[in-house]
Amino acid sequence: MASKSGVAYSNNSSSQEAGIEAAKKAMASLGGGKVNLCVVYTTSKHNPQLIRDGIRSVIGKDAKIIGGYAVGIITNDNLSYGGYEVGVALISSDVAKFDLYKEKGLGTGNEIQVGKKLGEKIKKDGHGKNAGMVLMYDSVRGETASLLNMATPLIEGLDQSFGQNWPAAAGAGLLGDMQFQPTQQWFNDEIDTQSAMALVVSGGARMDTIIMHGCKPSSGYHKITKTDGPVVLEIDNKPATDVIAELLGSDKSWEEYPLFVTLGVNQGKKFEDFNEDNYANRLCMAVDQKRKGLVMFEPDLKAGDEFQLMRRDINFNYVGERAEKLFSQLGTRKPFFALYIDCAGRASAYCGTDKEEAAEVQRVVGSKVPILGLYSGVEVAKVGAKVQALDWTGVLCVFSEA
Amino acid sequence: MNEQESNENAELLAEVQYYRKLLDGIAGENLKLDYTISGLRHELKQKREGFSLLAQLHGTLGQKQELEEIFKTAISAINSTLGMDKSVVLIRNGDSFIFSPRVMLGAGFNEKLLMQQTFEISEEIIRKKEAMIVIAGTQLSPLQEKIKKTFDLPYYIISPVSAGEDIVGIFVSGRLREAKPLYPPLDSGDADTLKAIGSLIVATMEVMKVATLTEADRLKTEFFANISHEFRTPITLTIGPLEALLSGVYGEVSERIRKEIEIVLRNQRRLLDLINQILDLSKLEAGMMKLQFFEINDFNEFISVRIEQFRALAEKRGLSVVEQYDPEIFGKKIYFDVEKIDKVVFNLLSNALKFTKDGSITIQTKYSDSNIELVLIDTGIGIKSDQVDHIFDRFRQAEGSSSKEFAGTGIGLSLVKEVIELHGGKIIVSSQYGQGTVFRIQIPSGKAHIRADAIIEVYESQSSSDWSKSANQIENFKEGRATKQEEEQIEKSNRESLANLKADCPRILYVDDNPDLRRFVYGLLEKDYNVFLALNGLDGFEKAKLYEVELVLSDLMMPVMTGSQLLEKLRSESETSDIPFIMLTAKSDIETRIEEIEKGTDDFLAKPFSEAELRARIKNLLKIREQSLRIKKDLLAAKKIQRGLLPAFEHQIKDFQLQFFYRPCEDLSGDFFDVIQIKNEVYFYLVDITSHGTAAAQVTYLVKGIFKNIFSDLSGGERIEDIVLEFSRAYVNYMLEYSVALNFCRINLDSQVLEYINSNSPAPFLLADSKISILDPKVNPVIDKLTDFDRLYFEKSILELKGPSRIYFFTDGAYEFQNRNSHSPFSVRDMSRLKSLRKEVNWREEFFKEISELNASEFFKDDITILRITRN
Repeated sequence: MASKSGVAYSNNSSSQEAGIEAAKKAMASLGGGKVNLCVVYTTSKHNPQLIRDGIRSVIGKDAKIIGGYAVGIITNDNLSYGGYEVGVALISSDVAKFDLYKEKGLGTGNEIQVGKKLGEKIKKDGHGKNAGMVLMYDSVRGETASLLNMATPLIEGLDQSFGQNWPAAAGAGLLGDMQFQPTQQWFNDEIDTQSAMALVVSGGARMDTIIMHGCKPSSGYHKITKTDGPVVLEIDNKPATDVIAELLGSDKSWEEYPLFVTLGVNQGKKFEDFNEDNYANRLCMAVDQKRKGLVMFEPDLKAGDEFQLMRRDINFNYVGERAEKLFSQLGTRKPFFALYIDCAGRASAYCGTDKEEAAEVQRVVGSKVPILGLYSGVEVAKVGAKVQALDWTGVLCVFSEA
Repeated sequence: MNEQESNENAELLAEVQYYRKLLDGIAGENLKLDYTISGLRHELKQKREGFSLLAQLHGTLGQKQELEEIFKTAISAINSTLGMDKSVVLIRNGDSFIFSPRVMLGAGFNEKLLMQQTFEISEEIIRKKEAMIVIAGTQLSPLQEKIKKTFDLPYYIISPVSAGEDIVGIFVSGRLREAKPLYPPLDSGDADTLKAIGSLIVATMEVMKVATLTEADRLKTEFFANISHEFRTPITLTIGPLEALLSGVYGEVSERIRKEIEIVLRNQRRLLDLINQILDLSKLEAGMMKLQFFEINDFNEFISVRIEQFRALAEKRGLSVVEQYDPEIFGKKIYFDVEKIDKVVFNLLSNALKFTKDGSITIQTKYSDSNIELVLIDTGIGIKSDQVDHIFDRFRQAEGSSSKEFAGTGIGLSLVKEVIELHGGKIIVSSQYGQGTVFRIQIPSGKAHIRADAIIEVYESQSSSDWSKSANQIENFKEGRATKQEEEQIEKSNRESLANLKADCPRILYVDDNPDLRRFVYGLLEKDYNVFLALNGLDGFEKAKLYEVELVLSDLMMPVMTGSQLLEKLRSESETSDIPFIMLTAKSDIETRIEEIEKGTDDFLAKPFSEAELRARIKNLLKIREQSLRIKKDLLAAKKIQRGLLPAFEHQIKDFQLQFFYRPCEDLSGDFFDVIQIKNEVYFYLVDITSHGTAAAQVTYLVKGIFKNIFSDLSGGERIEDIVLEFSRAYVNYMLEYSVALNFCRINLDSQVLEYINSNSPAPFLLADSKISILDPKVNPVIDKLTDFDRLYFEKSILELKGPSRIYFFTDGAYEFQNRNSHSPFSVRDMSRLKSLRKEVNWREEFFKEISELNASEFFKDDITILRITRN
């Protein structure tokens, strides 16, 4: 086999030891060969320098490193979040080409420019339709908890560069915990923050993706009548929070759980049968008490958009089915690594399900190929013809060779 | 559209609105349900994780050896499982209420810096041992505020980890933000989990402790077994030749040598017996004691043979022996190891003999419920009720102290109980303190308690000589209380010493309960000293006073009153407090030495000691005592002279009243003051010398002398700067090690102006119009041998005293003191708050009362002098 990968996990609270432990196990799982690429995710409880030093002491100085903070880690054998999780994937290949790109400058509301510059760099190296790209950007703007770096303008910037020549794309808004503490990113030997990074795979390797939504409409249509950036201020000409409160009766405690408010915009015909692929779902991140608005993760909802309240599907059968669908699409290609970008809100402790949705991915994918997953803040993938920022979504990426 | 269609449309619209509202309501209910379930599930998950955390820790903590390692593992699991961002363990600094971070885990911690932080935890928190939860809206105490700032942790739990009354550490564990449902506000559930982890840690520590002790116990047993064997051989080899010497095999021995050999032989036998006991015990511990069973047909006869030998010994001591045998026993076969049961009987009889001064010892045998019973009843001193339950505890000496009233090695009765139990029997004790004790032994008759494969021999009566050898060993036991015979011997010896007093030889008292040792030490010292003897600490205290001894040499472990108690008693009375004391003991460990030295012993000599060393130590101590007495005389004389140099403590000079408060911290003070009037000028000064004792006394003479010379040349109107300059030059010329703090003042009685020069002294206070203000004197150089002569100059301060006012000059001892917690409760500025300084009368008594309360003692480490000048 020309390409292979090894994935491992550690939850050692000593960052350096955790880096060493995960890298050593990943190396053992790889089964030898020169390491070309290391993908690493850890929770915000870890010291990024020590993690890097630990990993470097095992894999040597030549391999490329990319990664960042995540709420939790998924591997073939482990699935955990909120603790001292570290996930490391090592890839060795003599046919695949892995290029890393980085553009600084997030954190100032300048996402379009950052996206554009990043896209230009990638394009300059000749990458386009034939390549696969995993976007990893710092999703925490850092000024206050309610201010995030937005994926929608970042994608818009990339779109300005790529135009009709987009690579196969997936992406993650990196987030180290559900408290929105500052994110740290690894880019080779640099420790960075407020950057948009991209892993571009080309040569003899290909990246295929599929998305898992799992949301269904549960209310009638309502119309957004006023917004300000990511804040939905009015619904049906009434203050947005009043409308939600009206739906919930006298219960006010929903304001402590804003992430449960999911607004779905049906891009298909209004009253035809439910089709998951027609829906773009948006999560509410926080409540703007002063303006009685809903602060959304993305700023793409505008006045005039109609939406329905969405409910999370607690039956995860669709996850396995869609993963199987992706593998069947590969045909004779040989998969050598899978990356799963999973919305942190889909973790059972958060969404209230009995089972872990990612466990279904582990079950189906884990038996076929080494898998490394991360729990992220925002997901990015192609829906229909367009690359979009997504919420409450799992994006499965499979790397394969002919 | 007709009316019907219009109505139908309206109805349809209403229906759509109805269903839409219904649907929205259901959507709302679903949403509510989702986040409620999520909250509950998260709570459940946390509880599950809490349990799994405890289970996980239970498995891993036991593998850790060090407390810090245990805590580190615990907080790693806490952060990971309970979703905490930072956790710290505070460990107590020594015995105080101050705690410092020792183990910590969390992003952004600068461990080295944080470890230097201290937190004062109130006694109440430690006593209550309850967790404190800090969430949004909690009103923060100063301690909570400090924790929040130091660790940059807004929401946290403080949970003490307590082991009994002690706090082994304090968990501080928390989060940076509160965000439902993953990070809801910390609550009692989280606190309970931390508390449970704390309990687990304590339990782990206990298990570790037990494991260590068990291993130590095993090693000890092994050691005893080995060492006892090694001891037996040389002792046996000394007993044989000594017995041969006494028997006359090598010819006649003189009476004096015979007595000495008898002492050696007696103590060697005693030593052998003790070693045998230890050997038996170690065999029992290791489960290696094998019983050799004999068939006894007549238990009454078995006992009566032993009592017969014992009777003579008891009667020699004035005790009656009563024997009551149950005829039912005859013909009842009983099986036991004769050698072991001999030891049991011997042990109980020797105990009865030891502790019974007068009255009787009754021996009964009984047969009941298939058991043979042996009962020993004495009319001795009995056992205190709180000690009865512990009488069979191994190594436990009844009093649990160094007093040997009841003590032996602490092995005998333990051995008795274990031997009886090995025979399937039991031993019961009942006692009334002051009236006597009853030991009841029951051994089952028949063979039911014997292993089937045990070899049983038929017992043939022991020859009386064998048993008499055992019985004689009773004499070898060191008795607790002295016999009347011993008391008489001591009185006789002391009378003789007094009658034959050697004029130039010091009087020494030797206190020991062991007659052999008394005889030995007396023999060593009698040539050079007048030696008096005492039986125990109490006797020693009386004899020390009675014979006015100059040195006490005492054993530590004694009945009635220990050497340690004697020392305390001697030190507590002025008449005997300075008698040199040498503690003589077999306890040679450093802890005992430190303990006794702290109590005031002057020297310590471990047994066995050499004659030369004993003589050298006595000689040294007596020499030191002689020197000390001489110094004491000198100090007394110096004290009288120093006090004689001080002026009166009250002066009324025209409108001015001068009052001094003076309290030296030792007999000889480093503070000194004087008042001199020359025409219409009154000079006074306060001096504080950086020394105490005789050195301070000598310097004060010098200071007084220098000033006397200066004043003798004054005619009035001189600059006080020049006077102080002249004094300083004269003083510095002596190049003494001690610096001088000086307040030098002059009042002109006509102009009512106060001039003063302050050098290295506290600033004076002015009390006027009910307000005390600190005067700000000019800064002047320090007067000591390092002062640069060429740059020596002084500046005066001036104060006009026109109206009623008071001024206070004082030395730094008045405010520079520390309480018992080493805190300085008081500063020079705080003195202005003292109520006593405003009082018209009795201000000195009140002042001392106030500062003593602040100092938490009437004992001060520095001299205190205050001068109060009142302008009427």
